[in-house]
Amino acid sequence: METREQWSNRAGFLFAAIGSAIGLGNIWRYPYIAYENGGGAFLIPYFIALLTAGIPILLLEYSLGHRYRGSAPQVFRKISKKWEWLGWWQSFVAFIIVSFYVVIIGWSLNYTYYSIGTQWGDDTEAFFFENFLGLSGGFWEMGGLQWKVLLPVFLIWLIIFVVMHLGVRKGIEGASRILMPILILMMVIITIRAVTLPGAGEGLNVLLTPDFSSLTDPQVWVAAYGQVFFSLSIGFAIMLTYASYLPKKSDLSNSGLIAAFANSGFEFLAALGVFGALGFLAASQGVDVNSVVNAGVGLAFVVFPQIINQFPGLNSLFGVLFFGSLLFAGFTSAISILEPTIASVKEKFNLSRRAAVNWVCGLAFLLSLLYTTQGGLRYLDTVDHFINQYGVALAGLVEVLLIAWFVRRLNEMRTHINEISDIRIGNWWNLCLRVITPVMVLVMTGFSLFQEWLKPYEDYPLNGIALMGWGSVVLTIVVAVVFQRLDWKQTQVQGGKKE
Amino acid sequence: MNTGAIVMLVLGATGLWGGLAYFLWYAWRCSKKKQNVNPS
Repeated sequence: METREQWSNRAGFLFAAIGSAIGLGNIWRYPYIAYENGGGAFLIPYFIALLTAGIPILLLEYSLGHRYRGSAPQVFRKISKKWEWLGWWQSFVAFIIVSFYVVIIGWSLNYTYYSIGTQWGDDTEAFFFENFLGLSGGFWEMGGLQWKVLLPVFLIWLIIFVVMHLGVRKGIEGASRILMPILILMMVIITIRAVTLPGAGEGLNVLLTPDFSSLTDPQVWVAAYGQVFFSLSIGFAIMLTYASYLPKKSDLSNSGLIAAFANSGFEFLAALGVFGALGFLAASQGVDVNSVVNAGVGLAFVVFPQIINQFPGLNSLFGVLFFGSLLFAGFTSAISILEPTIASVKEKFNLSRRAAVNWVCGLAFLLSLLYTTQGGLRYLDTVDHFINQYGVALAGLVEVLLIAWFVRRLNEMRTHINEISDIRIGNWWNLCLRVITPVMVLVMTGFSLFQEWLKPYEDYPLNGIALMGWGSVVLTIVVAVVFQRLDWKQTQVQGGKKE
Repeated sequence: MNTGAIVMLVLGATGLWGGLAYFLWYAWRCSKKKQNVNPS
């Protein structure tokens, strides 16, 4: 019988878990969310959200994976046979996410190269959208494959393929052990350089000056819970799968706290670097900082190249550091997003890891091709928005409701955590998962739905939103239900013989 | 930087980086204790 793979030790697990949590969103999402929602005052709802939702769900997923020791479908099946689909739903949400996430890592790889000699020129916006992406005229104009995008994406998939083939310890843990320290060092260098640039102080003022009146705005609290939820890699089976590779006697609670605080500490550091650099850009252009603030793809691939152009010296080095940090942050997250699907397929169909990796990586690569077309950015943007807002959030919500309300196993999971952990978890954990987390995720989803009703996302055509956006969410549920109905190819063996 | 921004910077750094440092230290201390109990 093939024994279950394990991390080499606690540090190995932590490197992988932190590597999973620290992703692109830490660098390009958190700074903007903090800026838009009260500046320095945002730290208050953010910290509360971390303690009342982020860490409780993280510990719940650790305990599920560790106690039932299996992939997500296996874990939920062990809890109740009729809930296996939830594990598949989370795994397929992860599968959809990784298919476009790798494309952004591919862009980062290209931009790391373009940084050498600032090859994007003066008009960074035109370079990104026209020259690099070759963006088509409308939503349904797919255009051809954009080779400049496809080649780096193929290369990244190739590296991911090799890492996943190497397995949990040699592959995922090995890559995280190498890349995470480099990433943190790079981000420290970026931040120190950015906050010492002329004008950086004004950028930090815009980020950190507290607007305490914003705390009475419910939307600020929703934003804080959303940021914590989407930043910690919870809701799509990653942490559950990772915890299943821990040895039986492993601390869970303190490891969860370390991973959560490392993730939040990193995004706080990144925010200082990003706003220091934005302050510098505003000062060098003689404009207000608010006019250069941006988030997501626009911040990374349009505004940052402008900042790098304006740098007083070593422009290329700063560019390589910034895009290299996106590349490394994205890569360690991508391998973690892929693992739940690989583990699920491997267990259900009794495949070797090699075969499971071949299937999952192969299909995900084919799906990635959609986003490397000239219309790819719009498809990526739509799928990203809907699969996160409604796929990840709702799959996480159902998971919490299942354990807290439907099968009522919170006490059992808490006892499990407390039996093996250094820090004991109190009753507050039950309260958070029974009441606060479900209410906040429901409110968060309600707000998003209200926004969709007011205005189509990014003014994309409704049929495009229906097919790519809602379609991807519904597809993950339908396929999950279908997979639940398939038979398990068991290898429960006595004496090494297959059943 | 203005005073409000500096205060929030200190609070954020203390809460997030200080929290991380504390839990890392706590993990190190627990592993030391376990090593002392089971020296093998």
